[in-house]
Order: sequence, then C-alpha cells, then structure tokens
Amino acid sequence: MWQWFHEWGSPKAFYMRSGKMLPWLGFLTVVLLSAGLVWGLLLAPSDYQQGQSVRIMYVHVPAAILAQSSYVMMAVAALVALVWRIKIADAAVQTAAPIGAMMTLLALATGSLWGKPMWGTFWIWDARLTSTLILFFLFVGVLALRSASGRGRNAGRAASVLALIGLINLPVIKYSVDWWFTLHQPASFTLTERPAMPVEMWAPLLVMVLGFYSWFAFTWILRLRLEVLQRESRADWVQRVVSS
Amino acid sequence: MRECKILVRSPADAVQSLLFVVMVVTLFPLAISPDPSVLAGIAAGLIWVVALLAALLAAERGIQADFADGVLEQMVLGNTPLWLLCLIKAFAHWLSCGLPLLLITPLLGTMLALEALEIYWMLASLALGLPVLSLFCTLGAMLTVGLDRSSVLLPLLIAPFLIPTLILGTQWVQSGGQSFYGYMLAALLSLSVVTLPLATGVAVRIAVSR
Repeated sequence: MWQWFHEWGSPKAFYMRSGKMLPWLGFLTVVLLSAGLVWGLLLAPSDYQQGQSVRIMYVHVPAAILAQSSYVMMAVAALVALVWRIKIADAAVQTAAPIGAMMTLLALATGSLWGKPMWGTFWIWDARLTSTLILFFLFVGVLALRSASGRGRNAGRAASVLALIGLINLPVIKYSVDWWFTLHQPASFTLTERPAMPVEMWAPLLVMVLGFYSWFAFTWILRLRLEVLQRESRADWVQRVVSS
Repeated sequence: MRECKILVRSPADAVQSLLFVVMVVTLFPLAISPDPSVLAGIAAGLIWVVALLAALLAAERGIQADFADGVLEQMVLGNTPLWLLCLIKAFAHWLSCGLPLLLITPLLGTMLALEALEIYWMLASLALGLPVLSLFCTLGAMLTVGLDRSSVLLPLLIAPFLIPTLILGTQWVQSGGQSFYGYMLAALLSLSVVTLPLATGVAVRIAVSR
C-alpha cells in the first residue's frame, strides 16, 4: 500500500494519472453542483420560519464545512511534506491555501447575507462566526508566509510548520472561543442547533456538500498540476507535455 | 547567560516596550471616555490587548540581529539542545517585554480605575499568560526571520494563536478570579513550555537553511 503512495508522490506520475482522472472529476462536479443548486435553490421546500432566505444555507453550509476540512487536508499535506519531504505534498500545501481561504471567505460572506434576514444583523460575535474568522486568518497566515518565502527548495517548510501548528491550535482556539461566547451570550438570543431538517431539505444539502467537495478536489488537482509543471519546468517530460 | 548580557547592555528595549504600553493605555481614555466606570469595564481587556501588541512588537528583538550575525547557525551547529536555546530566547523576550509590563501593571490599573483586588487578578493572569505570549512570539520570529516585511508578517501569523491566552486571561480577571481560568492558563502555560520550544527549534533549522 505504501508503494501506491510513493507512486503518486512522483510529480510526473501524479501529473499523468491525474490527467486521466480530471475530466471525470470535472463532470462529477458539474453534475453534483448543478443538481444540488437546482434542487436546493428552486425545488426544496422553503422554511416555515425563514421563508425563501433559508436557501442561502445550501451554499453557506457546504462552504463552511469545506473551509474547515480543507484546513485539515492542507495540514495533513503539510505533515507529509515536512516529515517525508515529498515535493508533491509541499506543492499541495501551497495550492490548497488560496482555495481554502476563498472557501472561508465565501462561508463568511454568505453567512453574513443570511444573517441579515434571519437574525437582523450582518455580523455578530458568536462562537461560530468568530471561529470562522480566525480560521480565515490562519489561512491567510499560511498564504502570506508561503509567498514571502520565495521559491527555493526549502521555501515551503516554514509555511508547513505554521499549518501544522495551526492544526494543533485549532481545537484550543475553538474551545476557548466557544466558551468565551457562552459566557457572554445574552439570554434572549438563542443560536443553538437548527431544528432537525426533513429529508426534503437535507438531501439537497448533502448533494451540495458532496458537490463542493468534488469541486474542491477538482480545483486543487488542477492547480496542483499547474504547480507541478512550473516546478519541474526543466524536466524533459514537461517539455514534451507543453510542446504537444 | 549571553541573552542576559545583551539585555543588560541595552535597557532601551525594555524601556521602549514600557513607553509603548503606557502611551497606548493613555490613548484609550482620551479616545473613549474618562468615566471611571467605563474604564474599569474595559481595563482588563485593554491591558491584555496592549500586552499582546507589545509582545508582538518586541518579538523580533535579538532574533533578527542573531540571524544577521550568524548566531542562529551557531545555535544549530552547537552542542546545546536546540529546544533549550529556543526556550532561553523566549525567556529573554519575556525579560525584556513581559517582566517590565508586569511591573508596571499596578500603575496601568490605577490609570484605568481598577480596584486593588482586580489589579491583583490582572497581575496573576499576566504572570501566567505573558510567558505563553513570549513562547509564541519567539516561534513566530523564528518562522519569519530573514523574510521580507517580516515585521508585518509576524503579527499576522501569530495573533490567532494568542487568542486563547487572551480569552483566558481576560476572563480570569473579569470573573473576579474564578480558579477555573487560573488552572486553564496554567495548563496552557505548561503545554506551551513543553511543545513550543521544539517547534521553534524546527523553525530555526528552516531559517538557517534559507
């Protein structure tokens, strides 16, 4: 099994194999996202409390889920890059950071838009929003450190260390923010779990979540392929690929 | 030992931190309100935020110069364990920035209309929390040393990690000293002392290889 990992670890093998995968992944993404969007935005029932504005949930919730899991994925790639020094993993960290940051920004923005009709305000310092904002800063930090580090062989190592420290600190931060909020939560304001959703509402949500994951994988692989081409630009196989 | 010698030769660094802190604390009553009840309400958070800022500002002290002089490479090549040297660096940061802040906190508390008991809890929370800040700031400084615009980059990178300490510290003071927060801060401190110097050691090796 380790052999399979090592095979994927070579930039050229990754490029060739992912090239075959990519059109299928793209097709899957388009299918899932369009089905999810049509289903969620048009066909699913509207909430009896919130009316039509609940439909933002179909973009906001997947974005938030992806924001958090993409950080974890990036940090795992960072661990692989640091410990086993696999170049693909280093490129993976570099390419995942901007996607994750945009995802977090999307989650924050759609959440803001949803907040106005639902809770009457664009922003509030509750536990989840504050944690997501901090997650955004963590992503930006990794991005900034990466871009400041330049293009050497060891350039990505500092950013990988930062991503890992971020991962370890993430539970600490979430815990302390959660708890900071419960101390200050005004009594009349309940931001607890939404009531259990009927199937007609969580089914399109599931499709959207899967669609977002598939989109993330597609975009990440696409960017990773470009990064691999750039890094290995002096190799023969790259010349052949580019000239063909 | 070497760190202490450097500190003793340039007390200007510690004074710089002190003046910064006092200046910022002076700005807030001017900007917000001189009303003692308002000030007492924000005092705990304000002093903690100012401590954070001062720690971030002081983070690069000593480390940038050491990088330029090649001392960091000596650290990596030497016999002393790297994590110990990083711990000492963090301690030096605390000596030059945290300790002066601790000493001046009663003054700041009085400026911000805090009661004596609140000042006591403020001191306790800072005593436990400032070393954690120093450890994180040293880690951040090692991660960014030698890079362009590192002084802007460092606060951006490290600020999220300082947030739990900030929350715990301020809650300890604002709750009037509930021991739960004290224990949590102590736990955070012990965890940080054990793990962060190791991470900082990794960062030093990366910095030296640039």
